[in-house]
Amino acid sequence: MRPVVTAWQDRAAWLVILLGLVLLLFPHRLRITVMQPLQVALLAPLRLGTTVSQSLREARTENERLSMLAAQLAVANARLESAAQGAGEAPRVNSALIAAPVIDRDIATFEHWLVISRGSLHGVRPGAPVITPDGVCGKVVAAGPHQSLVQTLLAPESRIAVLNLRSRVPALARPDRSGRLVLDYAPKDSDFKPGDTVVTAGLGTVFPKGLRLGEVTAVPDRPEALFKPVAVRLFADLSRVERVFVISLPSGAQIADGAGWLENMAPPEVTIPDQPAGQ
Amino acid sequence: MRTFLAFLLLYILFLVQASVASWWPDLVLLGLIIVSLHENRIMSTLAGAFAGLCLDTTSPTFAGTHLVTLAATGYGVAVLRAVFYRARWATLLFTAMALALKWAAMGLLGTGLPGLPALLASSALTLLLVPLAELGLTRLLYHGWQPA
Repeated sequence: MRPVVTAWQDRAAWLVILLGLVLLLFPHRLRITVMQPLQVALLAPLRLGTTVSQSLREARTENERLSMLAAQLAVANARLESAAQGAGEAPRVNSALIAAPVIDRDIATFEHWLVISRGSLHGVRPGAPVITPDGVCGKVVAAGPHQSLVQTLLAPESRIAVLNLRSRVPALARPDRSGRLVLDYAPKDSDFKPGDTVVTAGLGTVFPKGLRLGEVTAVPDRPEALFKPVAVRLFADLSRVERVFVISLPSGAQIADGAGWLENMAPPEVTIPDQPAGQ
Repeated sequence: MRTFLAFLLLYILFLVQASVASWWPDLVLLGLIIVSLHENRIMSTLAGAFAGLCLDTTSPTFAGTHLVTLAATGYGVAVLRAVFYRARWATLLFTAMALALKWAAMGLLGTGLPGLPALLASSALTLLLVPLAELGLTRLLYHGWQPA
């Protein structure tokens, strides 16, 4: 004779199977009516996962699109500034941007030199300005077929002509020994205040006029100094930048040597090996 | 708690199976057989009914075929448990029988039977995974449990 518990379990199990068989006899429409809410509830985690994953993908794509748009607007603004200032002079840059991931950086400071995974095969040429949606980053100093070397504004050799957006006072920006950006040749009586926005002046041959560069952080009072000392904080965080935009130069554009003291050129010994990106 | 974890595992396996191609191994069936090896008859049947109900919601016709076949499978494994622990190969045999029962029921009722290549691939992969599933799930859910 079977134990009572086993007999009870057997009966309950058969009842469950029988209920399943009864379900099979239900009309199709009734089955759908009953199962539809159950399906929604049971598959909710899967739908949630799919929705979250899709949203993340869309957000990433949208972020990339907006970054590109912001950089394009910065360049368009620079073109307008150049056109307005040059009284009919043709703008020197294209508005075409080449998005380039940063794949390497100098190991000493992480912010003096960047290697990007776009090269001459993608249209990158030495001398091309490099920007981020936040502001100017630097310029291409050497371009291999698949990679290019970017000298940032904080590299010791870097110089760039700038303009105070509010007072229109020009100056020359260079990194000091501590790695901060300072302005040279700002007249002693010039109008610089903390919080002023500094943009490119367009006086050299590399950067178009009007690209946002940084913000004046301090104007220390030094009566003995010949020029006004001005400290500038870059808008672009060069130590963290992961993707930059190279402003493509118009075909046939030449970088004139005469203004090299304003925006210095590539060191001639720098070469980039012919190596595909990602290797 | 252990029973709840077993049901949760079956639900997770169902979610995985609902999001993969039809040639994948029948993970829910594998999970059910391993769970039924350790649970009592009514819990095994309910686990089968639950897993079947889940699978029926993704079936094109909401037929209830999975519910019946998996509930019967759970009950059958629980009843024949003693046989399984006398011979390990019996698990493999019973999985094959359960697969045949399921495919036959789906074929007879015309409820979304996959094509022959997918059916053969899924069955072969399910049978290949039996030893691994038995070892893995037993250790995961029922470590230390010994048959009477």
